This record gives sequence, structure tokens and C-alpha cells, in this order.
Amino acid sequence: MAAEQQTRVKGAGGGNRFAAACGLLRQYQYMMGQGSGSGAAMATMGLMPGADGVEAAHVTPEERIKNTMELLLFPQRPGTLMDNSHQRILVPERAQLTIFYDGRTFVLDDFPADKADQLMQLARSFAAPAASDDELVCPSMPAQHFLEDMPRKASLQRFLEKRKSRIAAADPYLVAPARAAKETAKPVAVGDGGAPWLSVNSGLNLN
Amino acid sequence: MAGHLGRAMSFGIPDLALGLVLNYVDDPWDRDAISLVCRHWNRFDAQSRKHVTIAMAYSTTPARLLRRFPCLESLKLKAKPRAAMFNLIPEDWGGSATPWIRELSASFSCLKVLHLRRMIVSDDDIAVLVRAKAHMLVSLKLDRCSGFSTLSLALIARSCKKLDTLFLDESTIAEKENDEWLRELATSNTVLETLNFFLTDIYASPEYLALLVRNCRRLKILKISECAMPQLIDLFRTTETLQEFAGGSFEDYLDQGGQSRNYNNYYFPPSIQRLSFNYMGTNEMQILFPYCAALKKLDLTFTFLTTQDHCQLVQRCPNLEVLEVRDVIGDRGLEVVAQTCKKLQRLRVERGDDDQGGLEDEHGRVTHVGLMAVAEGCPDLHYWAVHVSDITNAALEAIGTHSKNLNDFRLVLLDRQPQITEMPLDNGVRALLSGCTKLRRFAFYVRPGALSDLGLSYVGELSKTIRYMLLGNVGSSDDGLLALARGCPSLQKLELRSCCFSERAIALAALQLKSLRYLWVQGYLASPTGGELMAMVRPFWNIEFIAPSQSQPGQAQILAYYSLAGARTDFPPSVIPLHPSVRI
Repeated sequence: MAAEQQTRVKGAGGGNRFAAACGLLRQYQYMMGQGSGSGAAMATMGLMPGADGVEAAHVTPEERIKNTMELLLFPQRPGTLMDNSHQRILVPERAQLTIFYDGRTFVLDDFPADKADQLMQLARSFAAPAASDDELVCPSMPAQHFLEDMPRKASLQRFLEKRKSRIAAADPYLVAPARAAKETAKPVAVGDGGAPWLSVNSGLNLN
Repeated sequence: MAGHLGRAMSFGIPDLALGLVLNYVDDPWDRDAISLVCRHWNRFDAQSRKHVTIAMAYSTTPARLLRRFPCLESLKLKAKPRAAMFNLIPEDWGGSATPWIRELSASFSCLKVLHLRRMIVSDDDIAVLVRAKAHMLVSLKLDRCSGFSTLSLALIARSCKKLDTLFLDESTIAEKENDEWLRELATSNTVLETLNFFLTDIYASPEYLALLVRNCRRLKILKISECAMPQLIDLFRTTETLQEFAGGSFEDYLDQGGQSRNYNNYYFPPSIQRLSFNYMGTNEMQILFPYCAALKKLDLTFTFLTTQDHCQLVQRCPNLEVLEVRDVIGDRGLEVVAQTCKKLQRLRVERGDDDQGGLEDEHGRVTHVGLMAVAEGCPDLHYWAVHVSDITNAALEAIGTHSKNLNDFRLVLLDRQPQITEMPLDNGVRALLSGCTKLRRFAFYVRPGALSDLGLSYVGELSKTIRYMLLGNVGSSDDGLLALARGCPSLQKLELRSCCFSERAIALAALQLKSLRYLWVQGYLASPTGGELMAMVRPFWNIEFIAPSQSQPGQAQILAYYSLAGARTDFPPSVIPLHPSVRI
């Protein structure tokens, strides 16, 4: 999963590459005649179409996904995904650019395609040696990502564990018979005058 | 018409009257509505608001809270996601109380009640709080918190003489063998009404407990950690005011001499109404019989009692308002509840042991039979959480028909039985939601196939008033989630687990749910990059990705919430913020 991969990248000292990427981006923005201040505004605004409630009215979330190009600085399988992104960014001349890197997101409006291409080249030069490192290979995920286990409340879990060890401590060899003997020996059942549940076979519960 | 009138006169209410009226408005929802009328009313509410609950500590900042509610007397603050109670959240996730306690201590001059839930509270934090607030603090609740030690408890006990409530339920507390704090509390405080350190593992000596009860004559609620019950006899003979007791520990079945312990002479004060015991077995159960008729609450979750024992006990408790058990109570036990407990308001049936391992007292199973009995027999139920092994549509329909007072219903369908009698449960859920019109919270954690996409569309359509929802193993495609998201106009908090929804559908649903302000997801169809989550990016919406780690295996989690505070900065490596706040 990407996030996991990103964590690993972080752990493997991805900070320098990240700083280099930021530096490069900043340089492009200056070249495009924007100060870093307006660049920041753009990056934020591009992601927030609902901010003034106008754009949100006519851009559906689906469309927004379509309009947003994704550029992965650190693709999962170097080569394949990169080629994809490469093709996509060649189509329009300028478009919004979204970068996922190191768990962070950058959005740049009106990013020129040729600059994006250069950026990709740079990313590729970073990614290639890193990807050869076994540490950074993302584990393949199973097709089904949803869970089967049902979590138990921590307090109850602790109780059930203690309960088991207590019963085991009471009679480590024959837990079940000891417990059963205790049940039959208790006087309560007799005193209660044959209430129906007292004699019910537990097997009935299983339907 | 209001448009033609000046703001001050638009409602014809002078400020004095407004202030007097607001004093009688306590409901936070009403307060919120009032604060939205106009700036003037907003200021009035802000100045007079006494209590605020912040459901997510990272949704705002202490400074912002101070700016809006400078006269706050009581604050409840929650941080870690609810999943932390199920050991699903990394220990270092975050949730430090430090910035809050610093501001609360420095600036909130009226604060006297503080409730922190699922937060990390250090000894230093407590020292700061005590230094500033010792003279006013009336209630301190460190609820499922961690990070502090009994040394801080001693400081609180010594310094906070006005404290009437000290609540440490299920907190993880260091220096657990040191119970000096209890002696300090017993000797320094005479006004204590509630002391709760239930489900903690700190030691408390019976002598100090008895001393506490002798000195604190107003003590009504005492919930303690494990402590041998025979050693507490003095305590119960001393107190005349105790209404609620929880904790203690019945010893192992046989004592060292091989004799069964004799609890025949056990005594509780006549004031006792609510009880919860650890490790109570069949032989000890009888000590409760003389008190059963007066009991309003009985918690048998942490006992060894069998299905039969539950039946015998409950049969003697016609005045129960709260009952908490494991599913060992069985359908038979629930039938007795339905026949006996006509005043029952809260019922919790927890999941028992799955691994039988020769423990035949865990044969109890709760199914549609028990559900239908309770629905028909206990009309006053307003909270009902139940783990069932089997279920039918008819049972859910019965709840819709009879349980008209339910405002919180949580059902978990366990995965023990290979076959469920009836699936899907779409029509049952429809009937339940149509009938239970007071429902505000709804949890439906079932098995794959038990609620189809159609069922999810019913949930969306019929849950107009529901604010919190937990769904597990529901739906069969993204269509289900999107249909749900078309409805649920009041849904503020959504938790999804183990569903087959794609990132894209989750993101679209988050955008579509108009009232949503908190989303937690674990178990979904992740995209290769995680990038499709970015579709839900919007102003003030923090998105965090919790990656599985060695210490926290399992599946990735998504946590997203509205925040006026911006992205937080205290992430551990396992939490990855997806937030457009990184600026270039």
C-alpha cells in the first residue's frame, strides 16, 4: 500500500530527496513569474473548490477526480506506473498537478506539461536507485482488503484471559470435568423448584 | 419581516431577559442553534456557556476555545478514536493533553470540571493543572487515559480539597503498587462522592479503602480495582451512603486450605443500588439475593456465572434499570429479563469467549429469540447493545414495533455459527429504523451478506435523525455506500469496518454526507497509491492515514475529521497526514 511504502521511504532517509523536489518546484514557480506566496495560495485553492461554495456547485467530486492529474514521485512499481503518468500528462498543455510524496500532497494549478515532464524525469532519477533497495519494495496486497476478524473490547479481552488462567489454575489437568462436577454439586438448582432453565441441555442453544 | 427591523429588536427580547432565558437552556444542540441566530445571540451564548464537549481534540485549539467560551466551567475532551478501546490504534497515535491542560490552567478562570477521555496525560500535565486549579477543581475524570502515575493521584488527593469526583475508569496508571494516594485522599478529602478506578490495575489496600469510607461520609459511588472481597466486609459495614459498588475480586474457587470460601455473612448497606463484581461464581452469587429487589443496576460482565445463574439472579431483580452481561446469559436469560425487568432502560450483552476450551459455562448464545423477548418485554429500553450469534428479520421488526424509546441501538452479529437463519436482513433493518424514530446512534456490525446494497439504501433513507453510525461487513458494492450517503442528513460521525467499499466511494460518500464531521474506516478496497482518498479533500477536512506497523498489524485505517486547527504536527511515523497544507 502506498502509505506503507511512504513510511518506509521516510525511514530510509527520503528527506533529502523530498527537499530536492521542493527546491525544484519552487524554482519552476519563480520561472513562471510567481512568488512563493502566491504559489502557496494557489496550491491550497486548487484543492479547495468548496471554499467559496461556487465552484463546488458545478464541479462534482467525480469530475474533480477526472480533472486532477496524478503524478507519483515515487511510484509503486517503478517503470509501469510512471509510464502511465507520463502519457497522461502529455495530453493537455496545462493542468492541475497533484503530487503525493512522503505522505504529503501538493497541488499546483496550471502546471505546464513540459515542466511536468521534466519533473518526472527528476523523479525517475530519484526513484530508480531507491527502488532497487529491497527495503523499499512495497509488499503486494491481497485482492480483498477488508477484514474478517471482529475486534474485542480490550477490557473484556483482559478479563477473558484472566478467567482462563484462573480456571486453569484451579484445576490445570481436568478443567471441564471439575467445572461440571461443581455445577452438579451446587445446591441452588434444587432449592429453586425446577425452574425450566435449570435442566436445559446446552446443546439446545445451538439450533 | 425580520428584514425590516433592527437586529436588537428583531426578536423583541431585551438582553436581560435573553440572559435569564439562556440560563435555562442546557442542551448543547439548543445552544448551538441559539448561537447561530445572530452575532448578538452568539456572544450571549458564548459568555454564558458552562459546559462544552469536544468530541475530537484535534478539531480545534485551546486558544480558540478560550476565545469563544471564556467562562467555561466544565469541559469534556476526547482524542483517540473509539477504535483505541479495541486495541486498534497505535499507542503513540497522539492525543496528548499537554496543550489543553496548559491553556485550561492558565486562562479558564471558571473551570472546575474536567473530563479527558482516551488521552495521554502526563504527570507534568497533572502538576500544572493542580497548581492552577487545586482550589476549584470539583470533578476530574481521566477516562481511559494513560501516561500518569499514582504519584499524581497523591498530588491531586493532597491538593484538591473540593474534589467530589475522581474518575480513572480503565486508565493505565504507572507505579501501580503505590497506594499512598488513597491514604492521602482518605485523610485530606471529606466531600468525595465518587471514586472510580474500576478496571485499572492499581493496587488499593483494604485498610485505606475502609479509611476512605469512614472519612468521606458522602461517598455514593465506589468503583475499585481488584481487591479480595472478604477483605472489604469492614468497608461495607462502615458505609451508610454507598449506592454503587464495582470491582473487588472473588477469590479462586478454593482457597489454599482446599475449602470453599464462605461468603454467607456478606453484607451490603441498605443504600446499595448498583453492583458490579469481578470473578463472581455460582457459589458467591447468593450473597446478592437479599439485595436484588432494590437493585437498579447489575453488571455481570466480568463474572463466572452460567446461563442458569443469570436466570436465577435476574429473576430476583424486578427494578433493574441497567443490566450488563456477556452473551453467556443466553436466550433463556434474556427471556427472564423480559419477564422480570419491566423498567429496564439500558441493556448491554457483550461477546463472551469464542474459544470454548472446555469452559462449558459459556454455552449461552443470544439469538433472535432473546431479542424478540426483550423487545416485547422491556418497552423503556433506550440503550441496547447486543452481540448475537443468530438473527432474523422478524427480530429486527419486533424491535421496530415495540422498542419505541430506543435512542441507541448497537447490534453485532458474531461469526461463530456457520449458518445464519436468515439473510439478508434488509427488511428487518428497514422495519427497525422506521419504528425506532428516536434513534440517534446506530451500530450494525454483521457478516458479509447480512445487509445488501438495498439494505444500505434503506438505512440512508430512514435514518433522518441518526448522528452516529458504525457499520461493519455491510453492502456488496460501492453502490450501497453511495446510496447510504444520499440519505443520513444528520450523520456526524461514521465508522466503517470490514466493508468492500473502494477509496473512491468512501471519498465520495464523505463529500455527500452533509453533516459528516468525523469518519473512521478500517478494511476497504485500497487503491495502489491511496491517492483516490484525495477526492474528499476540502477546506478544514483533515485526512489521516494510519499505516499498519509491526506493533500494530492489521489493515490500514483512514481517519478524517473537520478541524479549525489545521493539520496536527504530532504524528508518529505510522500516521500519515493527507492534507493540502504543505506549501511550496
